[in-house]
Amino acid sequence: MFISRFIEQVDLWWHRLREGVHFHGGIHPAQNKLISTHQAIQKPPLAEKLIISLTQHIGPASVPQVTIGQRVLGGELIARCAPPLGVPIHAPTSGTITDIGDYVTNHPSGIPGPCIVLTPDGLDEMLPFTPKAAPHSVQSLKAILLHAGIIGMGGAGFPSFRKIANKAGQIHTLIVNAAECEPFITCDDMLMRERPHEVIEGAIMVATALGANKVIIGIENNKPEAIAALQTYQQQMSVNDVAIELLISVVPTIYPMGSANQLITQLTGKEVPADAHSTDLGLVMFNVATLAAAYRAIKIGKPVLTRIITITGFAIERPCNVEVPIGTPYEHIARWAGLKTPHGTWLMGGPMMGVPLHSPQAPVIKTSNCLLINTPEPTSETLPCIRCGACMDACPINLLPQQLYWHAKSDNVNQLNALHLNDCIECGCCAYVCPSHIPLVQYYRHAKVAVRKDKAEKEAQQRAKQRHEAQLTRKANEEKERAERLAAKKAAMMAADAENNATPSAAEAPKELT
Amino acid sequence: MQPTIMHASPYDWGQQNVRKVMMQVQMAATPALLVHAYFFGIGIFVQIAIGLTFAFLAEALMLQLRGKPIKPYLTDWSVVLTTIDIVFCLPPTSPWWIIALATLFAVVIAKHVFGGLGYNVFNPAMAGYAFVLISFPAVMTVWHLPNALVSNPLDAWQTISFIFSGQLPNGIGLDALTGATPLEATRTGLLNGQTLDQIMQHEIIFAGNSIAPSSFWLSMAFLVGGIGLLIKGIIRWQMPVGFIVAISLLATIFHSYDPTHYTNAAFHLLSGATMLAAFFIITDPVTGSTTPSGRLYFGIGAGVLVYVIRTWGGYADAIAFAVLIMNMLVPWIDSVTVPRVYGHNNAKRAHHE
Repeated sequence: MFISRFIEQVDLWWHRLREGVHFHGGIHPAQNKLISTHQAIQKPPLAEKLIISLTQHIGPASVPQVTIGQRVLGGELIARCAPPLGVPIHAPTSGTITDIGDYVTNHPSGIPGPCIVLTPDGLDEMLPFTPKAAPHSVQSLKAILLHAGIIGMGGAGFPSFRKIANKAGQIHTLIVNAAECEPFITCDDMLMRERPHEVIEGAIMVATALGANKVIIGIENNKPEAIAALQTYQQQMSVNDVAIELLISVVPTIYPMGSANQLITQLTGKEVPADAHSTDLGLVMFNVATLAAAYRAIKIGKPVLTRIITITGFAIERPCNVEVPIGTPYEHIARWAGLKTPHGTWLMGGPMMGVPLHSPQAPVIKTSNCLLINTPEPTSETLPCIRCGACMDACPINLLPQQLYWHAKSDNVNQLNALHLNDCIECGCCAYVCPSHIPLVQYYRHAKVAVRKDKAEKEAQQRAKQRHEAQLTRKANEEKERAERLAAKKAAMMAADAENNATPSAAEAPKELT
Repeated sequence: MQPTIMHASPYDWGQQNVRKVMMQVQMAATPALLVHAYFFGIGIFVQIAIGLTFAFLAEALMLQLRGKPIKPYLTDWSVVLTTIDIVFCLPPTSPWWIIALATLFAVVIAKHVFGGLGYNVFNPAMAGYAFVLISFPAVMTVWHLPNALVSNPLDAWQTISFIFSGQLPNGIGLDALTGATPLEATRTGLLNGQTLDQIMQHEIIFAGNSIAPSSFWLSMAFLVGGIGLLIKGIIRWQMPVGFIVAISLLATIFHSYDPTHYTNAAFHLLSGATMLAAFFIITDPVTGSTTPSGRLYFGIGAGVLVYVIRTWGGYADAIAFAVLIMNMLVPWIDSVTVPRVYGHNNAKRAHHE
């Protein structure tokens, strides 16, 4: 036990000494970020149709509030949230609602999901937005985040208002996730370069409302321009706003630095316990795009209508970042940026955790951060696992990927649970380093389903067992009661008989005996 | 325009692959090969040629029999490593059928019968070597002396001829060419009641030193290659460190207890196959432990066994048996050394069905 801890510590010290990384594992994939940072954030022309998914976020689909044929203005509410986890959705521009139905969206399965189709009229008429007072309570902040339709824009899609604690002062530090560790993606980088005020002001306002006293921006050292922009703004601002300590913390470039728990460990030295949330440590983390959206929601009163997304890849002629209305079909952006080949591999997100796109017509949602189109490469053949342990050394969670793979192949649920399969964040480090090129993450996704199924089955069995036992007890009780009733009846009858037949001498006989 | 659908993330792979790993290990073994050839002549290259021929034939045959694709598996180059590990353990002029039998046993029995690359429980090279060691003990103990210590060493052609036909050129006796290895000389001497000083003085292999020069330089070459593998990240530090520390500690303890009958740590580290084992044999990933602390325990266990068998056992060197015994313990070591997962307090022991 002691030796195990010691070995782990030695590995961690070594990692820290060599790379300055405070968590286990991590990898250095080819970054390919420079190709999309040559141009400022672009605004391509409006698409002919905006397909606005009703499942932008984690949780149930939002409920449409419009009818087909209705004209809407930009910023108008078109779908209200379905409690408890939803957020409202607003029309990104003015136009006519032309359909409400199922379209292929961002879902990894490629199964169509509910969408509202908006045909823009090109006038881009907006509802008048009214700036809001800077929120000074958690409740007012929550209301603003909810009504502006803000969700975790780093990719999680978790409604932001649900992420924060109810009581002021519960959170002491707001962590801004500016790591952007996925290769190819530069949308957060460009946002920070061009609009550092939105990020910093947004963070300060959110932190103020939460009653936090510290903001830490965790940014990877591969973004010197963004770091400089943030620092410049910080210097300008510090004159009049010093209530909250703002720390721009430059962290080493290593994947998956942008994973929430890993960034927390890097910045604070603390681990988030498996059975707790970061809020239990007094920390809350937001992505830079989320905070910029919060800034606009407060300062302008504008809900989330657009999204900055990186259009990049080796099959794109002019890789860059674009700000497009939510609902813009990916194909529209790809054609605008220029496609080198019709046979590219289309990914939503980066190469490490991206999701394949099933239809070029799938639309941008609030969490879309990248459209990556590369030319297909021959896949390398998979060889047997040689147990080299490279996966274990790369795992940021310190799992044993090689053993998980073994047990995943046999759906050995007990072992998978014992080895904490469910703590896997599917970052892909293990598969990246695997010399045998085994698609490990795919095995874990499959195994997670097996584990869930097993859990559900066990719970169902437990319920059935309880029901069965309850039934047995009930029956036994009924039997007992009936027997008791019968016995009582019998006793009563016997007593009655005895009374009828009894003679005084018989009743007194025992007395005589004594 | 239809996007090419890919299966699941990640879509980017590192540069490392199994072939490269195997090639890098072979590169790391090159200095030792050259040193070996310097001391013992070209015998080792002849042995490698014979070994590779039989290993590739056996691999291809077994893949065919098992219905596996031959080309990708044959070119994973794992049999090359197996062959080289065996060859380093064998006497450089042992007859051709010894290396043939050893590689056949390693590839057919130890590897493919267990399911091929990645599934074998026992280190194939050590299984093959142990097989010929216990089957043909007489042949295996006839070690060629370093050429520098022989008045009339064999030339290339004579070496090849001797390996294939067992015939020595006229006028050269087998006794003139062969002698005991440092470990054997020490072992036999101690059994005959000599002290270490007497052995070192009288045995020709030591050439007047306390550590035989051939062993010393060979060990250094393995050390250099091993450090290269460590830097490249092909092997992890736990196994060599555990192994070397365990042997050194035991040797130091017994040597300080009785210096005339127990050799010191330097002798143990720089004689026989200690360094070969530390960096090239116990570090075989397939048959070793895979957890961070398990690797250390594996190294320590192998080191303890090597020392015990060398000192009190029936064999002069003990790498093969130590490694094979530790191979048996790997599933257990792995199950009790599960590391602590992020966010969890204690490392949980993987429980058994």
